[in-house]
Amino acid sequence: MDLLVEALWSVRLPCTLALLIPGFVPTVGARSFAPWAVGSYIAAGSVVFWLNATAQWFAYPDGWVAIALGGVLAGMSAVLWKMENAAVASVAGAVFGAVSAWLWLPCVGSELGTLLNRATEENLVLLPRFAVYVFGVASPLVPLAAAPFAWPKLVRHRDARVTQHVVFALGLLLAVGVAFGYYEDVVGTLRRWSLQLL
Amino acid sequence: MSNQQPDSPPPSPGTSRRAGLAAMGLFALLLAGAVGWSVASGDGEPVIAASNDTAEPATATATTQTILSEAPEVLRPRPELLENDGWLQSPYSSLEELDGQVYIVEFWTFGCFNCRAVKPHLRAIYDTYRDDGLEIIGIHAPEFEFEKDVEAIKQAAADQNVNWPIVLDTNKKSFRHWQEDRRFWPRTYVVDQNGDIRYDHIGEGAYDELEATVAWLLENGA
Repeated sequence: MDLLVEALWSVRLPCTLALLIPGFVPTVGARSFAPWAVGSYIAAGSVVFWLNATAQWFAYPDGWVAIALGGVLAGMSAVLWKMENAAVASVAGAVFGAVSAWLWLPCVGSELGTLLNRATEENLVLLPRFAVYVFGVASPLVPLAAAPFAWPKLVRHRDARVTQHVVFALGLLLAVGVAFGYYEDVVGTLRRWSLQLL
Repeated sequence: MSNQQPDSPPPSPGTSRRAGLAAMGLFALLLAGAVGWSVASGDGEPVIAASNDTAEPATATATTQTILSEAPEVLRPRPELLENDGWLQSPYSSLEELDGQVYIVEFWTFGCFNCRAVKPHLRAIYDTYRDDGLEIIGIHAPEFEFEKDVEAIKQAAADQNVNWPIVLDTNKKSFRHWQEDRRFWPRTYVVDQNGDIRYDHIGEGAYDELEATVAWLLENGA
């Protein structure tokens, strides 16, 4: 419970946005299949964050690997923009979840710190605890996915051409940021814009 | 745009709506539970450990009860600082000048809440052991663009009462070099008189262990 509370609390922190903001792309882009996208985003994000924290061979992506990841994100954004089905939603969620968790440099509180300081080897026992943390951090995606189901009037706004164009553009922006090493700057800029809008 | 139809028939509107409402309700309950848990734990901050070892106090006192029964393990030689952009409020300009001394290295960035939470504990340890030869080096490795501004770093250091030397690691070269492929904020190391790392901690907490390591090294040498 402590770990989940710390994760929920950390949603408001700038450091955490690098794991949360990319989730908006598959969640909104998947339209009526948003629950698939959110589920796979959290699942893939959990596994990659766990690997990132435990596996010595799991290197931080840069150079050609980063460019390839950016290409995959751009391609996935385009597919999501064009197609609406469960398979695309699930794959897009998994891709965005995996990449964002891979690139995430978290600010660490006491509970996550306890977990990370224990995680010096690939220990499967710790995976559920990493999943709890990622679920907490990505939890705002749950109401984002669920709201149009609860209030069908929102479906029109979610599926509107302009909304889907913005989501596609966000996906491309993140892809370029990943490919050319400006990912944190892109996330930071999006944070600043959102604060100004609020 | 959506040229292709969904590949499975959508559930009935009533079922979807109930599921959506249930998900929203569960999320609201989760959030309320988390807030309640935080409030019940004391100060409304999300630190919930039974020990007061991890909470963020306005001030902290270095009065460790933890006494190391044996020398802290030598983990590895300390890495070099790479391509930094200068030092702030520092009589030093390289880590080599600290050879023979015990010092704490903390990787931080001023926008990081958890890095701020560590500061009162570091300050308490600094105040207690500075006269015995302890130094702290804060390596500022910014995450976002706004954290790269030197004036903002100086202001944040003043606001957070950081009165120890700061290294500007604007491009995070040292951040990456020291932490290799497991990179986090904050991360705290203790370097001994021989230049070896004797303590390595990710995140908040474990302040008793940090202080005990410092105390042991100052008293017994490397």
